[in-house]
Amino acid sequence: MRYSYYPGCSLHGSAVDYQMSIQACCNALKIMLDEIDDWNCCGATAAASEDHRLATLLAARTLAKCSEAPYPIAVSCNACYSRLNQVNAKMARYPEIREEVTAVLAESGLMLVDDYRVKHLLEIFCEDMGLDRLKEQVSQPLINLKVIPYYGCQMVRPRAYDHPEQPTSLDNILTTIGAQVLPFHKKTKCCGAALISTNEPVALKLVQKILDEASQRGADVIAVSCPLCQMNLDAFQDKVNSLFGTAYKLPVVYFTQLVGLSLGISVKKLGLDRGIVPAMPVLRTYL
Amino acid sequence: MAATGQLKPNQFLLEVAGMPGGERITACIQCGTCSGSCPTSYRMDYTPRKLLTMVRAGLKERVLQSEAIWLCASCYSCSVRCPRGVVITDLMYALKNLAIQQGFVPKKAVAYNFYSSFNRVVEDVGRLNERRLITRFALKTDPAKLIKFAPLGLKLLVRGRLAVFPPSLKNKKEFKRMIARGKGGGGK
Amino acid sequence: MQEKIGVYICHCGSNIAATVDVERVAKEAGGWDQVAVARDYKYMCSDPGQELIKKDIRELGLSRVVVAACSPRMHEPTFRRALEQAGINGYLLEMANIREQCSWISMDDHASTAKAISLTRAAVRRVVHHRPIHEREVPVNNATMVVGGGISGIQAALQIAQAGYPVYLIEREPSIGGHMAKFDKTFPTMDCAACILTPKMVSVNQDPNIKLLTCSEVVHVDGYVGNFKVKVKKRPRYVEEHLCTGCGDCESACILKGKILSEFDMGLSKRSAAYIPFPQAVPLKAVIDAKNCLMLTKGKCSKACAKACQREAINFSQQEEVIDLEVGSIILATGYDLFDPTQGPQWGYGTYDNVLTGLQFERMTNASGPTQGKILMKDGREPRRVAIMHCIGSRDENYHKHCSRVCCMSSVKFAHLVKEKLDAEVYEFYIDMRTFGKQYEEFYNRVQEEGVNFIRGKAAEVTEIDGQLTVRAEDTLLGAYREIPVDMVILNTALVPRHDTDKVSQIFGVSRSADGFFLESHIKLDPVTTTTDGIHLAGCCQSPKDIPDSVAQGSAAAAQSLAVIATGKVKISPITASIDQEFCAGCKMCIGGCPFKAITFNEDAKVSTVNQAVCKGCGTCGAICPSGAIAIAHFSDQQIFAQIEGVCSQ
Repeated sequence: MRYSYYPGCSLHGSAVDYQMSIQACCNALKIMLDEIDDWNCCGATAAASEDHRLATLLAARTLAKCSEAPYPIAVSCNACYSRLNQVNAKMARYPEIREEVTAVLAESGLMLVDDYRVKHLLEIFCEDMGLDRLKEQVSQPLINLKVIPYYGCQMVRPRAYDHPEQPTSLDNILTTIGAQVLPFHKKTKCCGAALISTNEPVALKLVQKILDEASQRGADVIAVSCPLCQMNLDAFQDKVNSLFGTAYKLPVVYFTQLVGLSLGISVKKLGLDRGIVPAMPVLRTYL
Repeated sequence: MAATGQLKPNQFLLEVAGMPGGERITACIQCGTCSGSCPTSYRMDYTPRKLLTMVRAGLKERVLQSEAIWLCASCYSCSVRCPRGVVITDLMYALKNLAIQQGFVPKKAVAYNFYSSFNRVVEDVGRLNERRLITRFALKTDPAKLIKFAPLGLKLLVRGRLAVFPPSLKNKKEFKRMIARGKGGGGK
Repeated sequence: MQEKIGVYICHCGSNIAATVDVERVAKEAGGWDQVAVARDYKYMCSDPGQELIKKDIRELGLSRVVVAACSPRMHEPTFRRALEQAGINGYLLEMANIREQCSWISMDDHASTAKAISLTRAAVRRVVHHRPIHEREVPVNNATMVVGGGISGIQAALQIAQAGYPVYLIEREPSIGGHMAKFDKTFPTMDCAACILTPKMVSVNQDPNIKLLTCSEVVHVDGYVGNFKVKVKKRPRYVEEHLCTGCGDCESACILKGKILSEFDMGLSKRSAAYIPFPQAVPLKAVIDAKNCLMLTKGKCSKACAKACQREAINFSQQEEVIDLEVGSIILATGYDLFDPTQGPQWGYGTYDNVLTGLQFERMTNASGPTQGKILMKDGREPRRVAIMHCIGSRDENYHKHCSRVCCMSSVKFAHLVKEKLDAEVYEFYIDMRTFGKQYEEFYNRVQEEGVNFIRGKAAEVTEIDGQLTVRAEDTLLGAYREIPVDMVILNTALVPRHDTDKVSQIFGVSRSADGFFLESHIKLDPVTTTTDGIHLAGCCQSPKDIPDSVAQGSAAAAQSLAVIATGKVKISPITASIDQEFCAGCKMCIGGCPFKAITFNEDAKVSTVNQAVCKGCGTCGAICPSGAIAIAHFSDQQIFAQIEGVCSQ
């Protein structure tokens, strides 16, 4: 299993712990990730909001960087995954946009191929590697750890390999590593990451609703697959608590950190000590 | 203001329908599934459904000046549930594009300045530099934001989650040239 | 040999003439070889139009006729008849389709006219090679098979039986009655469904002309109008029908009593493995559920049912049988399935206890239902606030594009029933209120006045907010997002094609429309017949409809079948294939290719032969035959080549 790997900007910055745990898990699971040479930002919601041409071009440039590699593209961030997938689909649907972009990229010596296979890590774990293989590797099952599987919105919408309202891939991974997966209605509800800098009260309300259901269900941790969800749910708990008079203290961890733990990888290598709400108090028993 | 009857062809509708994502606007049956699914419609001045019908009525100013379009969180709940296949999220993007291009957004508008700061930083170095984004965004809107962001910045820094030397592209000049050639008229 | 051809160009009002220069087409045609006369006329199919042709045949001695007008599907029989009336064989006619193939598909006058000339010329070249051929007649079997014992199938069967002809009524379930038997009240008059349906069900049982086969499915159909040969598979009931009195002793004795979800009560109650489907079942006979019965699945049981049965009617050794039937016509009345709302997790069905489907609610409000007609939540309390949601799976490109037609009215009915039985607030979420039938709008108005909250907006989501079931929707008339707390939600789900429609359509050789339902011959003018002669449609298998329309279509289908019987004979098209035995190499390729199983192999002569009564003249065999031994009457190589030359020449 080998992929052209697109980490996205966060994984080289605020989500360095996601990157560390991905690297550690993929090494252990023999998933080879070739970081795309000289990749650029996907544009996220900002580029699309201001200028659809800019948004298309940003994602298209990164896609074009993968044209020669014979591997699918692995993506770790939900927003990047959504952008790359959508631009890939958009260029198939709008020939005139494709032509425009092709011409601009050509001047920089880049070219597009017909279709790219863009895969989120969740898909790679569940479909390409298969959970049976993961199961064989688990040395430290996370028995009794009560986990909320939180997918976020852009992992599953507008189109992805999992169900847009009731996805199961993250549930299945967490079950495989021995954790107790809690039912969660807000699995794919938006955490408001795109609004946290532009309309904080609205975004915090969305965060609060997710934390509320998670804590009511008695979660030990929330598992996520996106650096933006992680930041929003983790770093803003203080603000939610002061705004809504609540006292949430829920660690928000990347699913790869939990997988890594179950594979016996060290806390340091997984960056598990880097969350704002500390995760180690509930995870210590699994060391 | 009453909606005045339009006898000439609705240029605004044609304009929106011509944007990527705007094609299916005439298919909308006004059922309101979008607004009912939206996590932020409760705060919108016009619900997403209403915006659609306002576009069809040619109410350009009211649509492009609305706050609603900046409240879209891009979660695509509306789009996957729409019974007529309208990708409302993309339509919201199209409306934001038009509002910016045609000068309907106030200079200090928060959402607009966040997006444009983000884009200018990315255009400059090819990747997002979180510190530069915050600085630029604060200076464009409210410098006091710098102080507000400081505690979070510090928390991230001590956990090694704020890059001290953020990476940029190998050939920034070539990247900038490419962006300049390919971007639309909106970015300033 | 020189023919005398008459060419007639139809204006079809402005349908053709607005785009095609019909006068020019007539003028051009007048100059072609062997054309004796060319005319244009406003409506060729009208009496004066036909008279024009007949007069020319008589007075000018025409030997061939070309009509350039609409599709031959529409009026070929009309003009053939006109030719016959004027004394020449009807097959000496050729039609050029200058409406569907010219004027209706182009706004370009010039191109349409050019194409019309070209098609008319092709018809003229072809018609020279036509030869007189003659239709044959075969006698008709006067029995009819009705497939499906819901209200429309029952209606059709009773109507035909009343006329004195034999009917086989085939029902897959152990009882007839269909969906209607599960309903409580029926809109707009609110009479009880059982009160109006049961008498008809009983009549089916008592009518000597009706042979009812339950637990039965049609597995094979052969033949053609007037002479269908059908194979019906009858599953064992494990109860001897002639002995069972329907007393229910077996049901009470069964050791699985109260263990199996009742399909009749839509899973809201539990039954035994040996059971009577419902109190008004016809036939009122017990049946043993082979999927759950311990004796039938594990071979081990105390057989309490058999011991309890004083008539010794229970027979575990019953076997499946295949019954052969011969009938003259067939009525498909196979009904519909209800959309499965778990396909949209946002509606909360299966997630929250008090989210029901419309049919579950029907059972609940039914006095003989699982709660004796009380509307109750799972915890046994009465709901104080009830939401009713329209268009679940209907009018939705993610599921089914069509409107299910009955749900607006049944939703209004549900609202009325809640109001009648409870002191509760009712919120009804609709996109458009479609109350189109007789007395329907009046019924809607009545329920409005009962204080139901009608919210114009499709309910987007059923969720729980702080432990309270809540509906999220936009009230589109307010232009505001609303969260409405409720105790119970009723999802009015779409009427969709049966899950096995594809298989059934293949067995009977009928087509399906884009929505998946069976395709009628003409959506407006022939909504009861199919393109397969002698196979008619009734009820929801053709498209969703309410009870009045299902009954009307049941009667209409019966009339179609009675018409087949009344003529006593059916005409068989002379356009069939024939195999020249001199040239047939016996390769049998045509046998595999024939979609109608009309070709058999003669082992003595080692050649294939066509059964003229079964052949539809589709031409497949002619194209397949490597020796060129197969000719299709009226579609000879000569005729087709002449037509192609006509199109290609200038």
